[in-house]
Amino acid sequence: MKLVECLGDHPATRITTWGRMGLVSHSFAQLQQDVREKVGWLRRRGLGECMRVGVLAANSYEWLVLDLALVSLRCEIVTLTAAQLEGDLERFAAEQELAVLFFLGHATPVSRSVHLGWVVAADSREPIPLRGGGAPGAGRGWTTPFRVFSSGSTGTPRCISVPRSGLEQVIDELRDTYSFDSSDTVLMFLPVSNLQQRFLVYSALWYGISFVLVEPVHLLPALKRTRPTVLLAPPLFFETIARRVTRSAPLRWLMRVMARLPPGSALAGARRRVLAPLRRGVLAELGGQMRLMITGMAPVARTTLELYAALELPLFEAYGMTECGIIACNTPRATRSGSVGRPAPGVRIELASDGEIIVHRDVPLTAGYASLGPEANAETYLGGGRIATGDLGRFDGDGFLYLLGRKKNVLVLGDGRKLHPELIERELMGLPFIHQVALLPEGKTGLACAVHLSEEGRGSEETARRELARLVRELAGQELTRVVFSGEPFTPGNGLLTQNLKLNRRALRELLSPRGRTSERKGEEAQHVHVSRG
Amino acid sequence: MSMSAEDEELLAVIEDTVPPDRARRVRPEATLRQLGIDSLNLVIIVGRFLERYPVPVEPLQERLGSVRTVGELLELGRMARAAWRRETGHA
Repeated sequence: MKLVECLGDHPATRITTWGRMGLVSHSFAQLQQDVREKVGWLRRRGLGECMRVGVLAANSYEWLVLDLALVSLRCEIVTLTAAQLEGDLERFAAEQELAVLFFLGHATPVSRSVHLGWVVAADSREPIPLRGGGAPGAGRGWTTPFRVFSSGSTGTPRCISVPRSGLEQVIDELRDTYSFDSSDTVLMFLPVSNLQQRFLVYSALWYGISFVLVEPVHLLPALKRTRPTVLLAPPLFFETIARRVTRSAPLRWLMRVMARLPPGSALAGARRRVLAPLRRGVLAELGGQMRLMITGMAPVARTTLELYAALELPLFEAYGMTECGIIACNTPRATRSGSVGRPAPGVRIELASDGEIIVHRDVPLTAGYASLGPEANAETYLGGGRIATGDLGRFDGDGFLYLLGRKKNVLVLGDGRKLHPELIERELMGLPFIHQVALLPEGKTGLACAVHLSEEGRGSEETARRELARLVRELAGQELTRVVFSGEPFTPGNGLLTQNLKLNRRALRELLSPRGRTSERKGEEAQHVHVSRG
Repeated sequence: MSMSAEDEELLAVIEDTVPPDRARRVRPEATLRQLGIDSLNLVIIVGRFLERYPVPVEPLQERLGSVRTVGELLELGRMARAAWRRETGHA
């Protein structure tokens, strides 16, 4: 992998980051020079091939220089998130066999861990005290440049090895998937610990595509000032941006109706004229030049996609997981509402007999969970480049993939029928007074709902209970046995959503218990989560 | 608690960022958790404060992690406004 050498092929291409004085731009030629200097600096301080180096960094130019320097040195980079800092750092370093841990960016409190010796600020001028036990393994080739952490569906971070071959493969695939070219400017603001984010950075470097790399707090000003053409962001971002100009409920309803008009419809021209001011408003928030917006990472509300479709703004849903990258995606060339698109380049998808999506790559993107044994690995890594996603899906006749839900969430009813709760929840979310809802098993065969209402009040609860019962009866063919109302929204903060913004069904099921939540979080959250039962 | 017209403007920025059905609950004493405002919403709100009062984000960024209520969030907006006034000489 010659990422640093290839920078010379596009010397004038620019990287824009946020420095002390605001946005700052560097050419690829400058980056190449800075990386080479950093390589020499690291080498003189004792870093060498195959050493495993931890990095906890903010999105910055300095991170990029350090990262490419470590790649050039053929180090193995372990990308940390703040979650790893919360535990025993010494134990973590021992497990990972780290030689050193670099902190970079003012949000990372190096002072808290500096007493360990081998935790250093990456821009420090002092010698690097290498950690004992972090020496390179004898004869270990540089086959695994990265280790990253995936939150996974359980919420417990899993350490994943990323082989060099997988990285080289995905760089090509990303460009082919979204047809990036030298006229694009890609804006990235998700943490560099996110594997897809890093792949996007490397793909841009490899193909000479300008990009902007900022921390989330700089996102809005960066959008306005750099006017990017491509953006990858979670669904919540796109929903929030559009909300400013589409607050009225009747307007949103009208837009959803308009979004469903066939492209050749006689009303399409009228739609465009009516919605033109709103389109300009949303586009301006996004910088004004956006040609491609990609979302995924969490469930995307149908209403959000319809809203952007009505405004003729190019928002496309993708589906992927850290273990195998982008699995399927809608693109400007092939998109279908409600689906997650067709399989991405380099990916073959098969559906197991129970409908589970099995991803096959000739060149696997990741090599397995570094921290887990063979049995745990075998549940996901099936061998031969095949990965079990744990998601259930179906294809339509044109090869578009539709997600049905998580395999582990399937509910088996008393008569043996299997139910995908996510499909029913999508319909329940359409009820105007429901903000969030989870359909959960109760007892052996019962069905219950945990709900957060848009509007508070006894009358709202009665109406919600009645309408939920009607809709569940209609969709599931079974009576709803109970409805529990949460006094606050489901969020990662109170544990009712996972860090990936998905429903935390285990925690939500605890709401059904007569004693409320019983996990270790109960003490922390009891004063916040008020529940009323029905 | 009475609010100045300028604070009402800041409050409107926050209301614009939460779903319409929760906008009525945006009051200084409301917690961000109650409103479902997460870290991404938070940086969007701060970004919009800075559109109104273009000043360096760093002083606000340092305090972002400790913001728990709408009132504390409003305080960040006031900080941006005060800094902007100092820089531009506005009374």
